[in-house]
Amino acid sequence: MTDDGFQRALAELLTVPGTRRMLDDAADGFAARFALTADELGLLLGTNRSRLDLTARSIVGKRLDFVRRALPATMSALPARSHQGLFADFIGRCPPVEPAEHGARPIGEARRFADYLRDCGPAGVPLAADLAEYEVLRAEAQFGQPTSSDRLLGGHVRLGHFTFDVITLYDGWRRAGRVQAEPTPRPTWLAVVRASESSALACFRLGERAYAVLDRLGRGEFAPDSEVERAVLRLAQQEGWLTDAGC
Amino acid sequence: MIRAGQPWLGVGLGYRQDLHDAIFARSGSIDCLEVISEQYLAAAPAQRERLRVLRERFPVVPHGIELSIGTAGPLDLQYLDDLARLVVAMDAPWCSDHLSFTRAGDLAIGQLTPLVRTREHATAVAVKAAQVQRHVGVPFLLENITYYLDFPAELSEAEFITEVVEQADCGLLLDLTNVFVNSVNHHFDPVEFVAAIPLERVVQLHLAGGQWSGDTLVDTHSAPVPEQVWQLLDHVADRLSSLRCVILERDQEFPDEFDELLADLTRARQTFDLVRGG
Ligand SMILES: [Fe+2]
Repeated sequence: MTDDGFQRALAELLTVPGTRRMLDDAADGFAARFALTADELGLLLGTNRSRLDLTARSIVGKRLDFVRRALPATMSALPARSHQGLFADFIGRCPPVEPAEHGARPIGEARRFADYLRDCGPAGVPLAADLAEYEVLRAEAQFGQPTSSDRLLGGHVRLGHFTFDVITLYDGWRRAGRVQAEPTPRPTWLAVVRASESSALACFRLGERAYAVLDRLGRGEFAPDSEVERAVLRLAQQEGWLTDAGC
Repeated sequence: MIRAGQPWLGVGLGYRQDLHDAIFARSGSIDCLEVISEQYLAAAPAQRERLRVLRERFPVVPHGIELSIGTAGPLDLQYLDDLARLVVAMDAPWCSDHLSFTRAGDLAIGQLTPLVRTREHATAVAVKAAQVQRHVGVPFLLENITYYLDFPAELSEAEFITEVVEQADCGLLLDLTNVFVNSVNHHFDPVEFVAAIPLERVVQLHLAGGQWSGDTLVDTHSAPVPEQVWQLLDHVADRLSSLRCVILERDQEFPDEFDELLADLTRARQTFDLVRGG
């Protein structure tokens, strides 16, 4: 097999900015970092740089295509003139670390972009960050398995809390094809749930306390210690939101 | 490798959701479909339903892009289990993926990336291809990729492919556009290339069209099949004794006129009607 270090070095050269400078400016350090043989280092140093660029651009193109397709409402909430700069910053900061689940690359990329908007996005994108999180939760609920989760909540149930009322904003986008400009913040807690054996999604608005209870279930840590908490657990049980471990 | 009784599926399209309505509107002109395996491995209800709808009307074959058989180290057994389940659910006659790697370390680069072509690597991939075939229980086909980067190595691409599929006793998914694109970008004769690989192992063909980016021809799956690829097809058509299916790939720049795609299907079908004496 192509040796592990060589493949990792090539993958980083193609996806992690700054790696190529390291190869060019500090080849010995580069070789040591990936445990490359002299021959392998020679192959990488001899790489046609314009072809390396072409391949790297192809990877970026696919990643951004996933993001655009998975997050249409988010895209419409971001001014078109900001897309290029935002995407460049995203690609620079967030390499395509493997998603946990197979076949989940588009969702994995969308999740990465949503996390980027939340954690590193420039000021002025909190609305887009909320929408991205909501769109990713919808996709994750769509594909999540009710039973194959190590959480107490099934994979078809996803929780989120938001600065804006994303349900209303998202529905408005679906109707009008654009997101309402400058909405008033309205803290929102919700569960996105895929109905069993169907692809229909339902969104349940939650109170902050019920959300907190379900969030603890989602993290696999739950021991109800009040009547309210037991009531939330019963509701989740009745609605089929729990895995066997949670029932 | 492929059962003698396995029927000819015909000439069809790579299924893309953007093409769904057009495919069903013109289903009489499409013999079969190829789906991307990974989109159906998780088996969410929406995917199961779509697969059911497709299979109701067409023979469907699965084609993977993320097995990453060339990644150093063992195959992902969870992936193989999921693929085996999908093959059973689809009653697929074979499955396929690419002779490349797409993952390294913790990076999933999503790009079919070439391997360094040594005998040692060919053997390692062959062992894994044989493992896929055993695990999944149907013939496994490896596809030749387009590559822009190339690394001087012990074996030519044709020798490397031959080593792998002969040792693994698996099939080939021959992408004629990839052969043509590589021949342009890496300056070799595509006719010599196809003469040097075991054509009797080709079970499926891919055809597509690309675009120039600077001085490099790129396999974008965004244009009609170019004339040089048709010539290559004419050249090999009567030597593909195991061929069961031809798939036209189109991933972007979907034409307003679906007839543009159907014209390529018709031309490919005419080629094989002649060869098969139909
Ligand atoms: Fe192909």
